[in-house]
Amino acid sequence: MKGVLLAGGTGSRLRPITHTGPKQLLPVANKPVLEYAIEDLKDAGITDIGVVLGHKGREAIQELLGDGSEYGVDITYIVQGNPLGLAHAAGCARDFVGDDDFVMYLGDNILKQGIEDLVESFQAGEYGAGIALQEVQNPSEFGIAETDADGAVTRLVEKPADPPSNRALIGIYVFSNAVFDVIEELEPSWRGELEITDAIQDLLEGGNPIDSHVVEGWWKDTGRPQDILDANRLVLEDVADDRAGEIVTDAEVTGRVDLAPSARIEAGAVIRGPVSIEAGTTIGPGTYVGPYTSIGPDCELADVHVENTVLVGESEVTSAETIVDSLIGRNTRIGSAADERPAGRRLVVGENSNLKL
Amino acid sequence: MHIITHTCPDCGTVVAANELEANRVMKCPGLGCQSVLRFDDLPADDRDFFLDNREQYQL
Repeated sequence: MKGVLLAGGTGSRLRPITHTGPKQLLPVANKPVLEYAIEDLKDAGITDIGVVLGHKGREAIQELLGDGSEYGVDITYIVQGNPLGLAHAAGCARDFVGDDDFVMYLGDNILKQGIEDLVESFQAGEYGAGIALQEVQNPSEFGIAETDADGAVTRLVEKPADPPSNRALIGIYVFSNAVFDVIEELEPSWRGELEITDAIQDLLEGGNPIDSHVVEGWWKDTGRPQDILDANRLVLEDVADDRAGEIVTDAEVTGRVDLAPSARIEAGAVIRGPVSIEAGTTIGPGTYVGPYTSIGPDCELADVHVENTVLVGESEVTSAETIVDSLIGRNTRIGSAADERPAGRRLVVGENSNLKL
Repeated sequence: MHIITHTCPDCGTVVAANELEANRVMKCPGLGCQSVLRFDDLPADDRDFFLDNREQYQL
């Protein structure tokens, strides 16, 4: 079985962060989102992975993943170009997949429990496809599957006004090779895209049974800033206490803290985990780093209180303020305006930014 | 939809026809690959099909 990892898209809901990079490389607990998907595929025994690239972030994604050898997998890149839909992305992978079955995994998804059960369930029968489902509170906003008592899918509906169930498709699929012939016959939808739900529905109507697997544990689509914070919190819930970095005497560190080897916590700083602090970062005097915060590499913090926040990296935060529930992009400077006259905030804010002062 | 791709003979990167047609002649998007890819690398039947149905491959 092969893996097809989708890493295209514009990341418009994550602007301005995604003005300078692809959404799949945003860090969750200091690891790019895309790496979680690679690990899930590998844990399911899938080491031959095609990464589908759009227009944005091609070079950055290739620079991170390389040929896959650092992750113990073999990566082939597939350039989709125009974002013509998930089924088009799958179709672009046809030569790569060859005669195999394959898992298609949206690269901005994170699952707590991986995909091994989904793959095993698919392989246990003669299915045209297998879909991962999760129960949601707002089924009218998702593609929804109707299933029989054995979990076989009987119908798919996209964003139904009257949902037949609350089990939503979460963006991870297993396909038999039969899907490629179905995609060849698909027509673009009203929005000009080849829809993967149409492909699955056509597989079903062509007599191919569709397996479903309800994913246990949490799942996050990291498409919006709040989703990144939620995913960061969920991953940090399980972070190990690994204090490889330097903690100076008179620093106060409690809870589980993942402290990279060259990170440093100075005297007078207070850290309360779960927290992740990357290499090259210094937490200076007067700083409080509270639960569910991830601080990326090469940051300098002093005097600030920060909680439930993601700093991507290479930033300096030295204002004696409290920052909560925030996503702070790379190479950001947040200093003090206390000595400035006239008194007031000084902002240089990029397009599509969102601030609450 | 008939999906047309071309595989770089040097690095194995797969490139969709819409990308090849938009550039006509392009450096392979595989990082560090120096190959030059052309829309004309596609078989004649695929080129004709793409050009006859070009609107399907645009946004």
